[in-house]
Amino acid sequence: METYGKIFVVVAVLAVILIGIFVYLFFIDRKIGKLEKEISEKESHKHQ
Amino acid sequence: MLKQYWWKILSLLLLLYAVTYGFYVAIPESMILQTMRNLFYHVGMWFGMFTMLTVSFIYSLRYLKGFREENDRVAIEAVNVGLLFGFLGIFTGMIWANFTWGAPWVKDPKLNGAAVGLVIYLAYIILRSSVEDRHKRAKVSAVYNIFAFVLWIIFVLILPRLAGDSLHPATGNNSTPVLPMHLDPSMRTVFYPAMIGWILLGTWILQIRVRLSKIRHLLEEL
Repeated sequence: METYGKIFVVVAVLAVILIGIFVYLFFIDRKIGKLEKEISEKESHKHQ
Repeated sequence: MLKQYWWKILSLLLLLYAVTYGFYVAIPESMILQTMRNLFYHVGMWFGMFTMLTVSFIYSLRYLKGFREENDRVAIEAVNVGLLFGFLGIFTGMIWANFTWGAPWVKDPKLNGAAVGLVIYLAYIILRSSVEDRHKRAKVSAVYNIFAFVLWIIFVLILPRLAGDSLHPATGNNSTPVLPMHLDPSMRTVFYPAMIGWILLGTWILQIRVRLSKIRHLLEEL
């Protein structure tokens, strides 16, 4: 492992970026879920 | 199943595993040294693209069976995500090629095939934007998409293997054993999980795009 020389610092950075991107995607996902709910509520109002 | 979250978390875990253990797993000695680890990331882009194009192909077939617009929406969005992966695959490949072959773009059947493959699907996007009527657009592009998928397979997966002088592994005379099936066993423990992780990530992005597209459609109708 000595030949890698502190590669774990780079690995940690990559891991943080990856987690960050996934958390970001998760929030986008949730926002879309809220939009979908709003639209379906409007739809049901229209049909009443 | 797609509405649940577990496969999104699984994707994160698999990719986390790939970007961490992928740097520590033992790799066989070769001329390309440590860059062999690119296999976990660069090849993932092509697995992602191929999966998206397959999804698009299936949904185009479905569209032609019942002309339901929601199938057409999945088809176009899958091509969009597929192109994202395709361009990332080309660019990451250029970085890797610059080291292994001495130039970002070399004369190689696989590279040319991949470039033609991207052009085929860019033409799909252009074709769509050139038809005004949305039912006609969906029909014409579904038919084109079926041809496009077949052509893509021929150009990217079949012709480079027949060409026989590709620099890419396991094509023609080049028998460097780096095709997944002949991959070093220790590398396989990262390769397969990584590929599944990339495919799931692509599926998630596709799902987001399809849902947005559906919302846009519903708003137009309100």
